[in-house]
Amino acid sequence: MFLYNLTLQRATGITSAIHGNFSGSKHQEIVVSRGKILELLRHDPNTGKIYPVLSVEVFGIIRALMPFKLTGGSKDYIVVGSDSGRIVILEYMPSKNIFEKVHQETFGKSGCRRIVPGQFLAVDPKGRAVMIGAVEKQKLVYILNRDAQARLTISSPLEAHKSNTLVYNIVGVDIGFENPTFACLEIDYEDADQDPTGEAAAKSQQLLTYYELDLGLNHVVRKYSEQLEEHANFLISVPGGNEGPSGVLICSENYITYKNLGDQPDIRCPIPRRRYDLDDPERGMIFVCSATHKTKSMFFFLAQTEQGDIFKITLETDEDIVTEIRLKYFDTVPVSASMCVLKSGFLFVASEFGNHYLYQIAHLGDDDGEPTFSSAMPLEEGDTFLFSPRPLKNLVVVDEMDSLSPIMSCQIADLANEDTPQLYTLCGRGPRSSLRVLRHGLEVSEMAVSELPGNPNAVWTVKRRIDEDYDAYIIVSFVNATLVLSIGETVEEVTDSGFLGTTPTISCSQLGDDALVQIYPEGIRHIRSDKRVNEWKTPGKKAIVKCAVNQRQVVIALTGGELVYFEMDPTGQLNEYTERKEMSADVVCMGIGRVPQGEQRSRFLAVGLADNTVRIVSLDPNDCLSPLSMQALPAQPESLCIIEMGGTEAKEDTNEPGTSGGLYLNIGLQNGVLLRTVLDMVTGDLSDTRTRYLGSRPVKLFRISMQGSEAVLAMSSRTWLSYTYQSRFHLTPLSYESLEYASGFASEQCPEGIVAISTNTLRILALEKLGAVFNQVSWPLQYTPRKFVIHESNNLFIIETDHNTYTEETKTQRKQQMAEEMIEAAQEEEQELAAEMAAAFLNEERPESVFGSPKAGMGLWASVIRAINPLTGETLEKINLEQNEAAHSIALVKFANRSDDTILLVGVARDLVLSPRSLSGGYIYAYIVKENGTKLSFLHKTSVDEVPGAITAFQGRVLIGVGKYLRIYDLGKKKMLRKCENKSVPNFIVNIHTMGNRVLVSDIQESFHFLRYKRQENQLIIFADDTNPRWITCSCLLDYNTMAGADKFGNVTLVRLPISVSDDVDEDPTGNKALWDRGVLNGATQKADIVSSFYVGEVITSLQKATLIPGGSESLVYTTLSGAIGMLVPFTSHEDHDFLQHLEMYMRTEHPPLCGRDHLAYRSYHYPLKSVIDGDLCEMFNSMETSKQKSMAEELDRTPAEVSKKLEDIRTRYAF
Amino acid sequence: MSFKREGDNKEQLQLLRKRRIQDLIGESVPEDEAKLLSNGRFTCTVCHHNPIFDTLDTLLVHRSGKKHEKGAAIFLEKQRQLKDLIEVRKAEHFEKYGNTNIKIAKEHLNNKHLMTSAPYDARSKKSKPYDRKLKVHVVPKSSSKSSTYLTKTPQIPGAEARWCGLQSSEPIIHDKQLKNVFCRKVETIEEIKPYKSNRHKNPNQTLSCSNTINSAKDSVLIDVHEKDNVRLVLTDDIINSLTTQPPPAPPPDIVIPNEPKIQTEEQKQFCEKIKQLRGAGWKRDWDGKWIKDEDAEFDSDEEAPDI
Repeated sequence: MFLYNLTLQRATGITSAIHGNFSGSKHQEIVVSRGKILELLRHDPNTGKIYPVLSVEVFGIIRALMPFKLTGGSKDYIVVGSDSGRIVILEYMPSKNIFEKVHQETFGKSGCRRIVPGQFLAVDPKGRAVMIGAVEKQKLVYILNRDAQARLTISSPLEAHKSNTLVYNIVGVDIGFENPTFACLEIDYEDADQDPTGEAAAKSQQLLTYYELDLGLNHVVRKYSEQLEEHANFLISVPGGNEGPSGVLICSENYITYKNLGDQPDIRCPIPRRRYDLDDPERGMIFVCSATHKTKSMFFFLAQTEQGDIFKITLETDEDIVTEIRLKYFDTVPVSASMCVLKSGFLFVASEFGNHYLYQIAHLGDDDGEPTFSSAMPLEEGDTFLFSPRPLKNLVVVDEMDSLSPIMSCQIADLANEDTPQLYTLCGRGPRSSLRVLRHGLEVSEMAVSELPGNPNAVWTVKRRIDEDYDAYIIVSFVNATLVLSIGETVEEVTDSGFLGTTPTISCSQLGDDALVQIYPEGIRHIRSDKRVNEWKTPGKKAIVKCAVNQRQVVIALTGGELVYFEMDPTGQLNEYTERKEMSADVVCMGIGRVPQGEQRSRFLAVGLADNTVRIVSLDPNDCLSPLSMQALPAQPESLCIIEMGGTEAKEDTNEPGTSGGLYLNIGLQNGVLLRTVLDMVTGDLSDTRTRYLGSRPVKLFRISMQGSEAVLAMSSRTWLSYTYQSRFHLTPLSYESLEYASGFASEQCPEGIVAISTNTLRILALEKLGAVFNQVSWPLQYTPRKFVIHESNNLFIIETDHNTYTEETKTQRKQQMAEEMIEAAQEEEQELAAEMAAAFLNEERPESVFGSPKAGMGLWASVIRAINPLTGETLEKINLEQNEAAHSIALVKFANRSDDTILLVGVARDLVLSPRSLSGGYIYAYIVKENGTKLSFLHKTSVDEVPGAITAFQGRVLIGVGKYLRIYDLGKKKMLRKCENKSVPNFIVNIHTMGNRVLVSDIQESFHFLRYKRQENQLIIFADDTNPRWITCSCLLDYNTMAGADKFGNVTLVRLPISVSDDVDEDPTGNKALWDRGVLNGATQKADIVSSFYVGEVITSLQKATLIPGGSESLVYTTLSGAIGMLVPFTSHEDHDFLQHLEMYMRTEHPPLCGRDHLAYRSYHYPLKSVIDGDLCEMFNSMETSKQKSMAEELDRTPAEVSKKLEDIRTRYAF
Repeated sequence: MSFKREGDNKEQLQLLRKRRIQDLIGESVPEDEAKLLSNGRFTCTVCHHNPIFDTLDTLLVHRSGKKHEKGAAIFLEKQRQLKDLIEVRKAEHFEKYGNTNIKIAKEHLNNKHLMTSAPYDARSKKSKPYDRKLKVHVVPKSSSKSSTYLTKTPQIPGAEARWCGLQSSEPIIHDKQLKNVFCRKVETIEEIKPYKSNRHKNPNQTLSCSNTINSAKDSVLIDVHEKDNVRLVLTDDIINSLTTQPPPAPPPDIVIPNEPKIQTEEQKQFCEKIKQLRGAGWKRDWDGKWIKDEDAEFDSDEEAPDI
């Protein structure tokens, strides 16, 4: 079996973010790494939105990112530290919208190794050198410079190794134009390694080491090293030279310290803590990330604690000697992986978990009366400042980027009873977690809905002048009237527009520079800017049935199939062409393209006829109205639309010229099919037709504008948008009710919107999240969701469990206790005041989703069982478990001895301590599901000796994995009754699947075990297992013999029992042989075969066999911790497989991955790649240069269009 | 993965080693010069008095002896003469009929290198290369005949019935009869197959077996066993054939009487019930009473079933 890997949605979590002028313009961009994806985000200061411009999978693990700007340069390069054993310097090419590899220098083995550099990157702030460091021992320094052509050059590496040291962080110290220096947070473990008592290890101290690159000697020296008092986690470089005092800020537990070379004394300031915090007071507080903002006159740092509180750090100096560190509470935002302060005054927060945010810095927090904490304030050792967190004050949320990361679990089902299934995902961590319902489609934001006096037929928008940015009128056509609405502050009806209101309208448009045209059944009305009106009336009894219009041309079809062509002359007069053309059949629809930039007319007219053909008619004066080409259709056409796609927009700020794309003829058929055909720009030939079924109704097409380029809105029973995004075609449905007619809409509030009609309403819609595959509806949850089950009533039962957390009950108790202490501690006379404060404290409600939940300490667990309606988000039932009870597994079971009730079983661990692992026991809670899945009533609780990690219904009873024991339980009256047990699974059962008498168990470390239940003897016997140790996270039973599983390293594997394997124990009726006869190393005697193996690159959290589109085929869908959704698709024909295998092979050599990792080696990270073709690599064919595409397609004996069609076909057959 | 042997059982290793050596030595003896007898002993076919040896070793000692060498010379000479004779006969035949297709007595080449057993393979089911008991293979004369006898005796399915049918219609033909010496023996090549269940080989047969028992004794299977004071052993075979596998569609010309089918239905339920009890942790002791399995848990008021 061969599989094809497709990514449906790329990872959404961000591991690191940097900002700089990557395109060389004045605007700052953000580059983020999403594990294996490098993405460039651009921020539009006008709308405040942040949107991805380029997203590239690098087929390697990005471990570090740094922006790098040469001295005096204006463009930032991107330095990437990855697992490739190479340093890679990338440059963003705005004209081609690609990352280009400028340098790639090999220094070590590939893979994430502790001794091979790649984990840490630091650049010299003046742009002369870059240091790349490993976790242990090795550090290399590269000198970067420019050559005569001003190209970036890279030197050979200079070593700065020191054995027996571990590195925590490296930064480039800003010391102006003296020799580049790097500060490094290290620990020397040599003594600790030698000392078996562990005394030395306990005493070992961190070092702050300076490495200096002597540019004169071309050599790196260890300049200075100093022991640190506190254990630090990262460094912040302080601006130096002319801009600041230089030096570093050391962020350590509870303190932030300023250090510099020379006679600068250390300045130390404690990190403030929240007042009346429920956190464990013994816990230290650390900063987790920081951002620096620097202008010519000032600089400050924003540093975030692990509770999410941001502090603004400023340094007071006295002639370049720092005298004081000042901290000021800024705001509280989600705990982030990286923060970027942009020059335009925005703060980008890449959250560790959940959605990412863009904030505008509205205030700098100066002079607002809030306390400033300073190192100069005397405090006792161990004491710290206190502050009260508050809602946002200095920051304003501007934009939010959805992030599913981490997806804890996912199930695909059609609970909403739509024709396409939805993905129900459990996302997030702690109080910011959510249940998200994902549907394929673009999210539509409804800007306005207004009712109209009747049911309109059509709607258009027109500008008053061609050079205006925004539309002036909305024209709505009814059966017997036309309504004109003017767009301003408000939208209201006008009568002075010149449009004829007493007749229905067929079409209208802006004409020439400043005129308008209205086409109605009896004629054409040309409205000049001075309100003069020219009318053209239809001859005799003929009426206009169809028309096609653009800025300079009007074509109408009269009854009987006669075409009349008008073109605007230089005086602004609309002139009829001398000849008319009689078509062979009735004209059903017509389409004309926009007038290309700098040309007089669009050269092609597309005419759809009743004889199931589309004809291209020339509008060139040389051969006007002569037929050029024809295409036969499977059904009658309904609508036509010629658009130009694939080109790029010219940008004023960067002076990039726009490139022109190709012309495409979109044909909507009456049977609900959309055809997209390439229209040759010169000859008018039609070629390369792509077909897609959109819905049950005839397809109507409308041209709109999306991100500056043209797009087609296709309306059938669902509305679809066909557009190019990041140089790829997308055809995505809108997640919105069905519409009848639409037109583009541009106004100040909504520069790229849609005006549409649906029954008797006029709607103004905006599409903001272009490129997103799924739109999501999110329902908040309390703790980290772990697993869920779907009840037959379509309600979900979710278990949420958090470590290091209090339950609600304990929290109130603790609060009460703290309040009492407050009163008690107060002096006699202050008692009253204290009581007031205590009352205020008790009443204070801090939403945990904003401020985080208090950290209770290790070994404290809180859990909730929740029944939720996934469509309305209503929580129907919530059962709080006791403090320290952690729900681990859940299942809905129908027992044979109680067949009327559905029983919900929840496996709970009691007092679980993770390291070293211990627990006081486990329970299985049984609840009866009542009132159609809305109520749970407690039945009984069974105590077990280990963690019940997996529960599955099995033949009217239930299989429970209790630690390493697999047991069959039956429902008893007082508790669950153990009926059968197998003790042979090695470590811990994470998953159980059953089929017939077969039971498939996944062990946490030892892969799959195939068991057979012998009813006669009431025994579970392992008859086969896997040969590889796999740390299974999730699995899916594909058929009786085949199992798909994913491990925690990111591999997906399919194993299958060979035909020769038998689960029969006939020869041996007692089963003792199979029970006792163990193979090598205590494994089973029979082994499963590996069918295929593939490294995805992210931890996979769920696997499911599902059909994602109606009428599609089944595929294996996986979700990952970083929020990606992908699928493995089986090949149906050998031909496809052969072709794609070749394509993959060529892609590997011709288009090597960006960060220097070998593709094949990457996909074989832990186990050799087997029988899986990487669709993500193959689909990169579309983003390659045309010449390369051509040569590669030639080698494959195809044309580039055929290759991309094949790639599109295989994707659309299974997904979107 | 390594193929390390588990444990330190020297004896087993010795046995295996010895067997392997035998296998290897056995290969050195030409096939037509010695023979493995059905009782596992060996004979030398070169010497005219065909001496019998208990082991391969003694055969090899004999083969290097003076007596054998003398015999071998004669044997070779005889073979050469036989070859010449065949040539002569062929030539004669050619002159008469224009071809050389003469009848030659078949050579017996079915002793596979004097191997006492199939080569060792851990995965395979061990099958015997020879049968110590003399078995008479009954060869029906033609396949069409065999199908007709089935139609004649539809009421008595099963193996015994086949015998009866044969006795009544045809004389017995078996492969030890003299006239079969010159007819080509049906080659039964011993294949080393991976272990495979018997159960699924011929569901038809198992079903018909059980039917026979039912119809013959005309009582429930369990009663019979209890009468004989034998503990009930419902093998997986029978239960599965009764419950899980639907009876295969009978050939159109065989009419299966209704009565046994109803009984199977009862039987099915009964077996299902027994299985359920087994699954619930009930066991039967030596005289058929239900007892609780000490490894399973029960509700405190749960009582023994009365079946």
